[in-house]
Amino acid sequence: MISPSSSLASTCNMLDLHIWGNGVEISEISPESLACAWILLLTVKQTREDVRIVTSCNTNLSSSGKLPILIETKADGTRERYEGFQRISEYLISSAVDVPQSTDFSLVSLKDSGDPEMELAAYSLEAYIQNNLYYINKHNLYMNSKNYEKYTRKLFGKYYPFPMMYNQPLWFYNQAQLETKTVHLASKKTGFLPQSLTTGNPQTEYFNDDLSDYETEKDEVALSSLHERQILNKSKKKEALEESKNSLRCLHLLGVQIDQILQVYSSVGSTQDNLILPLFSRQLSSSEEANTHRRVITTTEILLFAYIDCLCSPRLPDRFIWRFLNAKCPLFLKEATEVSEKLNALLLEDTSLFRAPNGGEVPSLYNEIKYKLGFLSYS
Amino acid sequence: MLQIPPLVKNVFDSFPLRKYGPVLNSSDQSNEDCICFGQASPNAENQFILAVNQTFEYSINDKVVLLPVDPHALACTLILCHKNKLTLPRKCIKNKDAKSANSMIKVNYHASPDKMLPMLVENNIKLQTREVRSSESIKRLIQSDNSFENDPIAKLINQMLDTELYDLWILCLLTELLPNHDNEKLRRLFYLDDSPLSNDYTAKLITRSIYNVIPCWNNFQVRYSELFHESLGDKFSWKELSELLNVESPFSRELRTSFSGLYSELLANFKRKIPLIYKYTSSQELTKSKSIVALKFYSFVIIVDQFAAGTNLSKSLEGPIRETLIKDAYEAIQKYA
Repeated sequence: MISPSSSLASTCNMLDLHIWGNGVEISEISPESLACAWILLLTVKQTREDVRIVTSCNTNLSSSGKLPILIETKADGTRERYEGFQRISEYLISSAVDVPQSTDFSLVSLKDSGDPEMELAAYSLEAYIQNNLYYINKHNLYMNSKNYEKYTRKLFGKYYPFPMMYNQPLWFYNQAQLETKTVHLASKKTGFLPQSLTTGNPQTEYFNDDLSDYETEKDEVALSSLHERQILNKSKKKEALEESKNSLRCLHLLGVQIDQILQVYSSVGSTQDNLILPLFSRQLSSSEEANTHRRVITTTEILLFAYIDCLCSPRLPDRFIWRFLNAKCPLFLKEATEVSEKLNALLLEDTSLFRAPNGGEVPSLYNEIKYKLGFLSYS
Repeated sequence: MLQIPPLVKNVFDSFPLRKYGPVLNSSDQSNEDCICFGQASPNAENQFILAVNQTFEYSINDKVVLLPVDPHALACTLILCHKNKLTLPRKCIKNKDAKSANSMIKVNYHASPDKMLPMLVENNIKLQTREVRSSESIKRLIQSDNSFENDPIAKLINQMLDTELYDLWILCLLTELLPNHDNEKLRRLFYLDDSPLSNDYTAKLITRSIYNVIPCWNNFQVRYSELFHESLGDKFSWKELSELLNVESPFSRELRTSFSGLYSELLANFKRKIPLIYKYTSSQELTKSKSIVALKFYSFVIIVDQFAAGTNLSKSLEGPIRETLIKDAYEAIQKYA
């Protein structure tokens, strides 16, 4: 049995956070990865040297098949694994004692507030974000064909070595399609290549599948190249129409969700004079001196801002969500962007924090085969 | 006049032209032991039928009530009682208790279009309309109907419970309650025909179909699709080949280990939340929305106590508050006896 990083086990208590990304760039496809990296930055990074963020993209590492995962390798070679945002954030906060107050942020845990209702609300809000904004992010990255074809699909080429990058984006695309369908966000037909592969119906051209409107066109054969172009144009138009319908639905859904989140903000006493104050700030103000100029931030807020950051990423070709949020709640968006920009800058201050995957951690074909045959174990 | 050939005449004459007696309306018979909600003053205009998987008997102060076996159906029953001022369903004979208009029926999950139960059938007698609500729409109705808009925190907690309790119950069924080929247990949890269960082979087929249907509940399979990502390795893993030949559950070993991985992760999260939810729901002044949250939580606790004894889910309730929590949960439903 080959242990993926047996060579590293000799140093004591290594902490590796495996996330989606490439180099020092954390991927938009997993806002939880970004949130965990930020929490790691504000907690154990301040006190410990042996902490690394590994942009491995290898989902086999976790038993639930999802990244991020935090692996702690103890001095005796045993490994402790923490999967998912909740468990990672909790572990990081509990293991960070006496964090030096050098950063602009002070990460606080609601558990110290002594208010069970607020603590429960924080947990629930985290679950709400992961159950709702999650689909918006999927729609934004996969179902929006401009973003998918010009950005998301290409990302996988960076994340996976040859030939693994061919299959993964398709799988993620189909997955996103199923997932967005559960919130009524997917159309019957989007894109052209992945769909045709799943239905087993090879289809290399756009064609008109809305037979109810144009029944005579059912057997329409292009009579000339001009005619063919016309047919193609028409079906492209229809596709664009269908997609914009879905995008509007998506924006409506996002609007409802943001409204609910802002309602929570105001109900826990955080909006004053049109000012977005840190979430749960009233509950926490007693524990924090008023005259320090550091931004109080909770893990829930970090998760929320990570999602907003991924949804509004400037790297996306189609930033329709950013435009929407900018028009709907400019104050909230400004706050979210400021915080995430600062955190991202802090992350990049020390690039030695990041490390590339090595050995069995690399999601290569060779490792995949070994893993499937049972010669490589990550547990 | 044409003479009919005697041979043909004989045949036609001997053809049995018999009159059959009227067929008894069988629906009367099945209604004989229907399960009805008790009601102080019958409301003739609206009546509903709640379709659930299976029921169990529970006695409160010598009254035997029938309760659904899954947490969300029980929560739904309690909320219906709470909102409409009904008492918990009991077995009754239709002709005797003419006033009990609202009822509960046991159905197979195949009866539901999305294979999810409970379903709520609402009859409006005056308008002669009938509306069938799926689980999803019941969930939305409960949320939109109970002044959750005024209490965003309660709304969040309600939404969290909806997904998390459901996921825990699904995982508990898949990993702990069902895998033992225990037909008795299967019958306690699902409404099934007896005859296929008597045969080993058909019983296995039924178990298999139940296994396939449970992940569809509440979009579980889509939300945790990483676990169901069936790859070549699931089929051709040399190490597992021997185990595959002797398969006990239709999921591969890999899938089952990842199920238990997710299960323990969710349990760890849930364990931390139990005292918080308990404190939240047992606070003195229960608002309209808080009491809905409380009913959902209590019905989960009751079902775990009744059906999941010895499982990890039941163990997660352990702790200093276990006794009082379970006591409170049963007390909460006694109000509706």
